[in-house]
Amino acid sequence: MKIVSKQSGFTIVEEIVSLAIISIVVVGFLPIILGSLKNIYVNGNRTKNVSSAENMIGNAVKGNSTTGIVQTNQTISITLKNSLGTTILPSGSIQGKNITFNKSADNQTTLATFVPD
Amino acid sequence: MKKDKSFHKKGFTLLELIVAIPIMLIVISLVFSILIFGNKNFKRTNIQMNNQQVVRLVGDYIKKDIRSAKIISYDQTIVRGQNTNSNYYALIYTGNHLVKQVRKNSDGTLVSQTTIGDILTDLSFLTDMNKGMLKYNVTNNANGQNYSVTYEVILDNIITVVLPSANTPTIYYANN
Repeated sequence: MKIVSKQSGFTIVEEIVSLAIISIVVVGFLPIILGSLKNIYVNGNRTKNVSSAENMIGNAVKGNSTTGIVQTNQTISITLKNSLGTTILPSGSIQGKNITFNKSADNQTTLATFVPD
Repeated sequence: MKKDKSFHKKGFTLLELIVAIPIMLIVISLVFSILIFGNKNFKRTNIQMNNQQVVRLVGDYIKKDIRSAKIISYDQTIVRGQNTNSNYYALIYTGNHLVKQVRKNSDGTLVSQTTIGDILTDLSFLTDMNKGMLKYNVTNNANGQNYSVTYEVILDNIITVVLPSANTPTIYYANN
């Protein structure tokens, strides 16, 4: 009996504790496995959102439908100068519209463009 | 004497085995379930990624290709009538692939054709009441997962698009 008790090994309590630690570590890695799939879906939705934003902006540019679009009048003034700072072209202005699409959800998409009149 | 000797032999007791085997089984089943779960997820990720990639490729190709067209129609005689170039083009969804054809304007004979992208589930040009836009839908439902995007292209050189009342898999256009 004495020889048996001298054998080195793990006690049952040590085993259970180590198992618990291992399972916690393994469960900690699960989000990494799941994350790639989730990211693929998120990116797929992002592509769809960008595409629908382009569709709406396109329709607004062509003057078809402006639902979900914010349009603001804007004037851009331009002065052309050379590297010495001398004015080559006197300041002129371009009048146009800022067309903005903004979707604020968990997949935020913003698209804006300037269309001269 | 015989009984004493057996105590000195190395080995496991029945009790040790009864405790050790379930613990081992728990560890093995944990590892395997994680492995199988990871593998399944990897496959699903790959399928979805491939679906999206195919849809994006074809969708972007059509967008880039057709944007500067000057005549677009479902009817090739209309395109041939208005075209002043020697060739006109066709985008055809056939055999689960998008095919681009170059055809001679004089008699409509096929000059060359290229297959674009991978296998798709559906591609159709949609009727669109909007002026100067071409609407089309690209869908891929491979391996039990689906991905579908509806595109609308601004046509830079066209005010009206002539499309049939039903959706069509074929469209003819010319850049002149």
